[in-house]
Amino acid sequence: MPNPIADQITKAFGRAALKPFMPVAYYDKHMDCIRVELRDCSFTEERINPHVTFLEDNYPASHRNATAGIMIKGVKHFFASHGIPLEGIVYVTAILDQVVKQYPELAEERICKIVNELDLTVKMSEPEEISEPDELVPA
Amino acid sequence: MPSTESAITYHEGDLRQVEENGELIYLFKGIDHTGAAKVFGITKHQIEKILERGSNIKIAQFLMIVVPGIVLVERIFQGLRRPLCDGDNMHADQIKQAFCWRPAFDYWWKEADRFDNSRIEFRESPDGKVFIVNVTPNQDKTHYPLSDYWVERWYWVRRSTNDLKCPVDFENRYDRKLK
Repeated sequence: MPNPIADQITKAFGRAALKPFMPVAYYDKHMDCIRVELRDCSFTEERINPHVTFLEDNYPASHRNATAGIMIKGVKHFFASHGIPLEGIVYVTAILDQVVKQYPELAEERICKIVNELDLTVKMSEPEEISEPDELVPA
Repeated sequence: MPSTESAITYHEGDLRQVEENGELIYLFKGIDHTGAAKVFGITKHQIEKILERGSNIKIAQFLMIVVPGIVLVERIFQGLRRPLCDGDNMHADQIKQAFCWRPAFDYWWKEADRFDNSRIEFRESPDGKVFIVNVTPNQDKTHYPLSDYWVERWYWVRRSTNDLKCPVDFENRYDRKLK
């Protein structure tokens, strides 16, 4: 069945059809953050502290957890201070492990739930172009 | 550096595509904190990345909220209070800006349609929230002369109880309020 919103998107950007969503982690080099997104949804960003923001689904179904992602901010500073390599492929769970060590109060529920849904890595290399963010690499 | 421009089909006049420095860029109009007309840009590469991920709600929000709505901006802040390294700039947080307003509509899937990626629907905006667009002033006018700001990210945030047009905790999120 035609959908006017999907039609406008495909028409505007020259696409035959919209692609299906898969859980994803990627490094946004201009915002210097890693975003982990578990759903294709409208997000409210809930800033917890200068390094951690949770992504909340604005309209979750009643049986779903509202937390649908996490953003690790100030990645270059954070990685350097925790001995995580700034190049190559890094497991998102390894990054979240360091986040939990620094902010143990976040570990109880929200990060654990995200970790349980994850099997993702993020590629940290920066291509020589202005475009962003870097590609992500599902594990 | 010469630019070439081509028309784009969505809302004629709202969004146009140009080529600058060998790169395709989408441009649209908005205003800055003084009310002066400005041009906002986003690379086609960045849009393609979002489309490739299947982040279709995000792309609907860009096309239906950001492009036509940024001219309605109510509050503008500069300086994100968190560490941010962008390229060689270890203090890029200081130049980032946040454009904030409350759009009337948002976009979503009904749960029953979650496996049909063509069934995006609009709905009323979420209660008690404002919409934020993060931008960076264009600092390379030599190679990219047409854009005044680069659009980088957009999302909802709970609104402040001190100023209903601002995001919650705006006093601690940003260095200063421009508008």
